[in-house]
Amino acid sequence: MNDGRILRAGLRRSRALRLAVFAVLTAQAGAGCAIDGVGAVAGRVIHADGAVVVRTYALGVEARTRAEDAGLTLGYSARTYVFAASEAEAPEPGWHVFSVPLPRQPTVALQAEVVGVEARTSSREVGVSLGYREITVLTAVAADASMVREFRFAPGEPEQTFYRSCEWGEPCEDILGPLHSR
Amino acid sequence: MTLAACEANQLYVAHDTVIGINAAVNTQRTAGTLLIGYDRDFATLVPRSVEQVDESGNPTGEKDVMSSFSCSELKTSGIFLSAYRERLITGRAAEEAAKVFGKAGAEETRKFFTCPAEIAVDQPAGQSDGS
Repeated sequence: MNDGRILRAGLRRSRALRLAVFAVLTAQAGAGCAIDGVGAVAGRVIHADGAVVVRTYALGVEARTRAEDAGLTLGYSARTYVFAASEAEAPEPGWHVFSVPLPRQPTVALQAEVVGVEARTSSREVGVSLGYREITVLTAVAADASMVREFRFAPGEPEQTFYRSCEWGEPCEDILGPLHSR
Repeated sequence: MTLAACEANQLYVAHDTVIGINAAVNTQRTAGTLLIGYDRDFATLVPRSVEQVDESGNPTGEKDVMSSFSCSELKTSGIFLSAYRERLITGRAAEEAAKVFGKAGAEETRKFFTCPAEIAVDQPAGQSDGS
């Protein structure tokens, strides 16, 4: 059985594989490329309560060099980066096209949805995927951190994102409430 | 998830859905996965070997599981994450918080770790919540 017959048989069986191939071909037909939020990419910056949320949308080839999210995507990619407002250089809110400002600070949370082919070389994992993949890292706190934090996030409603964080010893009334004074 | 196969140096809470083919290894190259089809994971990864410090902040030479208090609530809509809420205390702060909660009593502690869904997300029938 030659390779062509094997591929055709696989495409007939796998809807996910067909979707991925369609996404890749569509991306090639009508898209461009982007690197770290610059290029064929659109994005929206939202100033939420204690957080800056940046959503990016790319179709085509997208390369990323952020340590926590490094990799290459061929297809459709939608990513949501949540930064602590107290630490982030706050970019201008609203829609941005061809250049989406991404603060350099590490994210509080990160969500990535990909339809197509993705190769990942981040600080968390190395891998390849074909098809649909969604990964949301909601918490990533260093093992030796001593801190208090409250976080609320809804991917479909980024304006409602809420983030507060304090090191132990700092005022934490926002999170601890009446327990803070004990 | 490959995150779960390594000796963690961070506390992770993550949600992962794959439809298709996914191959991955952790950054230490000690474990990997190959998936063909559908997979969905919810993972909380707690570091198991954290250097302990005394009250002055000096290392004691001992290692133990990371100290943490956490209340998390995750809502899904089909295969998609729709909302997440968390209160988290880690490390030395968690040890001190344990003393505070001990004095505060059960009711105040329970209130602190209640996770009401303050982000109202419309959920069609058949949705699932996780706490």
